Amino acid sequence: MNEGKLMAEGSDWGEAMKQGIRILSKGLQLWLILAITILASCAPKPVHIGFVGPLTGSSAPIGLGGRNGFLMALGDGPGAAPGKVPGMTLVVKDDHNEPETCLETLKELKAEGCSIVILGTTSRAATLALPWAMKNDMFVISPTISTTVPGIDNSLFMRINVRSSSYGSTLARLAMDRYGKGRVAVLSDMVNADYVQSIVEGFTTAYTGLGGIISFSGPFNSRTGRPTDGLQQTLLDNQSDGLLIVAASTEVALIAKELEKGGTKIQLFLPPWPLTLDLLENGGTAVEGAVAVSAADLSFRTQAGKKFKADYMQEYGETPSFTAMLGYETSQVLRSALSTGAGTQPQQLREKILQIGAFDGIQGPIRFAPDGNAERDIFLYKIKNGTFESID
Amino acid sequence: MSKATTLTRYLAGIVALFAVLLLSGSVFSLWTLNATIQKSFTELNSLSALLVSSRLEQFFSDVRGSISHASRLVEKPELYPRAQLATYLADMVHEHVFLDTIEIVGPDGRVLAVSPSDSGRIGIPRTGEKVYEAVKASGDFHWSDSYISLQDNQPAITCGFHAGSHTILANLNLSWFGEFAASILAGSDQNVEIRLTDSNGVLIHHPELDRVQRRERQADFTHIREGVDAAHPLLIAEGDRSYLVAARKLREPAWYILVLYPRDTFNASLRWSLLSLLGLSLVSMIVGIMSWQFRLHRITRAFTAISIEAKRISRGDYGQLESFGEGFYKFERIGDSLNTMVSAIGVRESMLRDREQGFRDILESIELAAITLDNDGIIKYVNPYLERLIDLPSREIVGKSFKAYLCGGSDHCPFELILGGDSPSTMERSSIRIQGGEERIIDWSIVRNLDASGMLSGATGIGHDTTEMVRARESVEKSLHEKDILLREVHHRVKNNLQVITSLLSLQQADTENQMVLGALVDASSRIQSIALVHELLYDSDDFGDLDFRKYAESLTGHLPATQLEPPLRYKFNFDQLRLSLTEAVPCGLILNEAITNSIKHAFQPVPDSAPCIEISGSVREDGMTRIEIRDNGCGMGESIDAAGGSHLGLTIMGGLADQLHGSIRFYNDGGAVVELVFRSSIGTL
Repeated sequence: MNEGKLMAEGSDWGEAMKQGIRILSKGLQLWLILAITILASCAPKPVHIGFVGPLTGSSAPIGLGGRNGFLMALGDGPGAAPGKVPGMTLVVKDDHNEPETCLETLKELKAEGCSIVILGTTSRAATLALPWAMKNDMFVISPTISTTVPGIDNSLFMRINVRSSSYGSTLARLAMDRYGKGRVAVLSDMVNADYVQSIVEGFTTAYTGLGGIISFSGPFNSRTGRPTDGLQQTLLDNQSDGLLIVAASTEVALIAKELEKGGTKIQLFLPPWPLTLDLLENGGTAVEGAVAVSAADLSFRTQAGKKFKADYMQEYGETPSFTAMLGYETSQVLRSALSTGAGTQPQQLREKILQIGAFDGIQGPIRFAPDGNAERDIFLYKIKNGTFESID
Repeated sequence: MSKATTLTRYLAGIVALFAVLLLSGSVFSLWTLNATIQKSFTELNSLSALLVSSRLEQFFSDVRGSISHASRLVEKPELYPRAQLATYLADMVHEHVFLDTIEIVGPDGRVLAVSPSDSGRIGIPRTGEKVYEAVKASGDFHWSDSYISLQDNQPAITCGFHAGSHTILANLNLSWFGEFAASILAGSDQNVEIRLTDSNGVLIHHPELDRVQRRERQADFTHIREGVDAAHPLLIAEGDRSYLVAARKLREPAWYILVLYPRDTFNASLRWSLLSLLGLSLVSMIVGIMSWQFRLHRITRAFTAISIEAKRISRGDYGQLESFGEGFYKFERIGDSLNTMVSAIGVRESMLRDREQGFRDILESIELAAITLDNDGIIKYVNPYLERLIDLPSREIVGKSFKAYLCGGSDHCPFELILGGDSPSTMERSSIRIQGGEERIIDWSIVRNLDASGMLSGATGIGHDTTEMVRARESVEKSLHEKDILLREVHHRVKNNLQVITSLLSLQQADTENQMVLGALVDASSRIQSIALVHELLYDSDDFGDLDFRKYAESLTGHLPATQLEPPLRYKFNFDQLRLSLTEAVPCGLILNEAITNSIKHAFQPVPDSAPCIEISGSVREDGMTRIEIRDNGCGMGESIDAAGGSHLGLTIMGGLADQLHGSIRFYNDGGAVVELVFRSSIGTL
């Protein structure tokens, strides 16, 4: 045996161990670098999408419905819309139906890296936020805004809803032609002034054009009071045979109940704003017979609509409102465009949506005009037995 | 070196195994710790959930009691006048802080009374409203879905009770629940959360009120709903966080109590345990490895010392080992054993050396040739005797093939049998050629040589120079051969001379008519013939010293004159290979001749009834005396016959011959005449 080698065995072993640890350490470092590189190259870039709407207060049903439909479409559940956008994160914010709050939430979203926003709020709340978003390179698509917001050129804006003036004119034709009401009174909650004015103007223009008379116009602000005191007498004095209420569901239910309490039977005409579930739940018999218009098919006649209703009820335990349907369709459109790899650059995304052109919505096809406004049907309803019954 | 490497790997393997076991133990401990903590957590939080749910159920039970009490206001108008209903309701609202409003709806579906007082609501119809219709439909208590009260933006619920024709509707605030949840969690981990959801997962209570106000749903609610009252902890994801959840469902309304603990907080606690344990394991492992390395170094040094000592011992240095064992008790014991072994080896080697020297001295001094060959037959050693014999110095012999010294070519080497491995030892004779060409005959005694491993390494032969002895023997043998020839010739000539005498006597027999003379001549001729027969047999034999007496007897009876007996005379021989010397054979032959001749002449007159027979026997008795007996079955001899006297010449001759043999002869009758000669022979049986 080699004596020298044998004597060196102890130190050899220690050297071998140190060498082994050095190799192991280098291997581990290499492995970590490789793993990080692979993960970094494979990880999808996150897509931040914001949702803003009134989630509290009397307009909450609008925001909550839109949010729920939006989340269900983008989720992973059975009601998810087709197409998958990896790395998508959702940020939901409450604007309390206040323009200033809405603006602040958009700024927050921008700061958080959101360049795509679904604005599920009222037209009033969007008056400050929407122009700001256009100036700050944010793509906005809305399931609820139906008015023309002054000061924007629609370059980065698209709407799923129908323009509010169209609702007004449709209600006017319905009142005059179908129900033969020649003297219709108008109650409008100025808490959503732009929307209200757009509806009322559309209605007034069309209605008077058809020979109708606005028997009474009663603007009010639900935050400061309700127009219930003396309402019956006013309607009676003005010989009104119809009443257009442009307000949220809570206000409509209260006004209708006040009229029922007083024994006043008058045909109610309603725009989409109050057509939420709580109108039926809280309005009761007082809103029975009311006629309404909406861009949403609230009787779920299509196969896709039936499936959506079933999925939504399974998810949330309630019947979806029109904002839920429009919110869902908004997500469908967005998801379809993003899943094609259009990217999150606002202008490119808008162009991609316009390029796709037609989408299969849950209540029929949705087409977008070059100005970003959806071209779609308006559905007519009558509340009967606590449900929205189609009268198309 | 390979052994040392194997040892290192072996010990490194033990260290690795130790490390793996330690790490495995740590992982298993962590797994157990994690499972135990999670189980404990689940049980604790389930207990909290049970506590909260009990309080809520108590609350709803109180509500039912209160509403039931309110029903009496309308069921017993005699006790509670309608005009005072508002007052009674106001008292109830005042008494029960959870009551926001309470209404009594009349049979027509319109509000009959309300508290707090609101004259505007009196008469408001509630028909068609979801809650009102549901209460009526139930005919009993009914709980609405939760909602956010527009008055205070807080979660609320409406409870209805259908009492006969009237309906009582109460709006309940749940603001107290937040305080209650906070009291439950007071003093506990701040990370624990209590949440309350309705049957659809919509949050009714959450530490962040705005999430309740925004009617957010509990994340992963489906998973929670399916895992209510589960024994294992529920793990849910909420955004980028995950929670361990204990869930419990209320009986009525079907709400869910959730007690949540952030998984990352839990993991952080666990991580500390993990880090502590891993750190401890790592330190233990490093200490263990260092300890092993130190010990390994010591062990290696101990083995190095063994190697050094082994080399020293191999050099023949059998001194005692010093400071062996590196402090290891076992190694020190090995050192003691080695010391004992080395001492024993030293003593034995000394003995072996002495013995070897003794053998070497013997080999060097004996007058015998000694030679050692390797396996190839090459000479490795020759002793001085062989040197002298070959007449060459050792250095000129060693290294050469042994066959070179063999005479008659190299076909047969006396060492071949041993070197071929066929036998451990042998004795061989060979002739070797020494200096000057002379041949020497060597008788070799050869043994094999084995190396330390027991393998054949050569052979050693001890040779005796038998050249002179062999040559002397050859000379003696030659001389003996010449004497044999001479002796044979002498016997031949004696026999021939006796034959001549016999022939002369036969001629004499023809010239005489005197029967006595004729008889004497015949007898003399017969006696001479018996002597000649002795010489004839001697010169025909290989050995002139003695002869086979049976053969002699058989030849003698063949030379006797034929008888005219009828039936013919028969001879019978019973001998035990009796051999007699010349000096014994002649008298014995004469006695035999006389006895047979007498029997032929006298025994068978008249002829016996049985066939005439003469039986001749010869043997050596147990006392060493030779006994020869001649027996016939004739008429026997007359009385007063003995060997010493009497008138019979033949008997006299036989007596004299017996004396010559220093023996005794006896004549007697035993079914015939019997002559028995007993003497001590100098040869005996073959």
